[in-house]
Amino acid sequence: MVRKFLNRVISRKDLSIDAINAFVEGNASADEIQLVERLIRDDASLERDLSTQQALRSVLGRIEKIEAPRSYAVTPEMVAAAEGHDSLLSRVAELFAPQRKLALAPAAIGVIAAVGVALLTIGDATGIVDQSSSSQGESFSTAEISESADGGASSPGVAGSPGSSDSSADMFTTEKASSSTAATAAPSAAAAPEFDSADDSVVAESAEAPVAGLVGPDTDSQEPEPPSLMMEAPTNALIPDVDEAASVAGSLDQDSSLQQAQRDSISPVDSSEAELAYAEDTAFEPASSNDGISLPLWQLQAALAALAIAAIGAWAGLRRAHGG
Amino acid sequence: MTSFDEQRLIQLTRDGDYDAFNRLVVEYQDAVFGVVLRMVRNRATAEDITQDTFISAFRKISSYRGGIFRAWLFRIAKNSSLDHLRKIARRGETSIDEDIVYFSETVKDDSQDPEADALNAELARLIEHCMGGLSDDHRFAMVMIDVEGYQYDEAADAIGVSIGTVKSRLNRARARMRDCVQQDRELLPVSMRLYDKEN
Repeated sequence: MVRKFLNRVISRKDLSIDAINAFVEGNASADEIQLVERLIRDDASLERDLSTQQALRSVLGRIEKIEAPRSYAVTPEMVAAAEGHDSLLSRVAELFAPQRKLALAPAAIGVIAAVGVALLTIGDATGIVDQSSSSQGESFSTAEISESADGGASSPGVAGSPGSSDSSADMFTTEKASSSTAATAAPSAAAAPEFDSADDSVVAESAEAPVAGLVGPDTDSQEPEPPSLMMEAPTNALIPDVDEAASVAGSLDQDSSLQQAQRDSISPVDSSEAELAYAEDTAFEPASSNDGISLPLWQLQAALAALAIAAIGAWAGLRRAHGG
Repeated sequence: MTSFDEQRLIQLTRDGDYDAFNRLVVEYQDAVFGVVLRMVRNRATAEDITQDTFISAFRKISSYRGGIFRAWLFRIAKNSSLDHLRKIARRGETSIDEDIVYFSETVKDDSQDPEADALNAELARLIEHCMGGLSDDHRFAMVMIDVEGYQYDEAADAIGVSIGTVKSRLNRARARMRDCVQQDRELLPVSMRLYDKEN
């Protein structure tokens, strides 16, 4: 209905424009002349305007045609020079997007990538996003878990605290294995009860003093070790089937939504068994073998920036290749 | 040249035949150069754009999907011309030959009267000035229809818009030209002065 209405309005406007144009050009039909005469009755100034336009058009029509001053014949050398003059980028852009309208695609990609870089930079500056852990830390964690597997579930060793081998740390093994990433942030301990932990007391202890665990390592061997000693181990070193979301969450340790995704990826099996099985699987593998796609922050920024530059360059080249 | 010949020459051009294409060039170079010159108003630039237009046409002949071949050439020329005009507008430069008015010497008058010739020259200079004040889109429509005398469908093909849009642009262009030339009423032909606002 709206479309019909708009069409009616537009066509009515077109009718008057058509009639006026035809009148000025001297080839108006009887209907168009009637319409113009009605318009002139409504607006007396229109008559003189149309007369002026008619006179102007007659002057423009008397302008002689311009002749080309020389021949513009095309030679193979000219074509070769033009092809050589085109930038490599524009040729690639032309190859991938021969239609002018598709030039918007690389432009859109470039804008999205540029926005990604900006968001990461802002997140980095404001502290929302952190640089992910290095491969050295991951290697260390894997080694620790391997050691833990060798010693059995009763003497796991505490990741990130090689010297701490007190038996009281056993209480934390389950907690560490099942929710080590949760231990990287203060609120994480509250999430621990979601898992079917073997030792509920440990969960309760962690939930009571999560902040203290972030302050610094507690050397008191009689007390349960704070979660800070465990959060050194990257999540993907402890979780057998860590997915891409979990890898990224390792670098975005304050992003609660990603942490939730990570927790969701943890299967509620006995954590000691999982730890043992994983340690066996990964004992002789490089630390990064199960990392999946995991880009540290600066690399991600650089990759996105390169993508943005390439896409915008392709867009510019494509516009140039299309002559627009 | 018949339509058949043109299509055959286009087909030969697709096969890489330069001679066939250059016959098309000879046929259309005056038209392309005239439109480009009236758009960019600089002879050297118009020559460059015209040459580039034909080189681009040869290279992209495979993208020609039928229709009026001359309009397809005009579209390439128009894009190149508008590119050039945007570039100089961005730089804040002007490449217009201020001393050369491309209408002044070409308004035909059969009167053989020197005074009339002088008046026509002044009138043409005024038209040149007023056309320079139009937007690129409006000027292109006016050059195509009123100056070069092409049909609406060919102009629409060349500009890449609908016929209705061409008519609308032309209508506005004529109205602006009318307002502009009325500012120098003494240069106008009598027929245009009859409806002077003061009378």
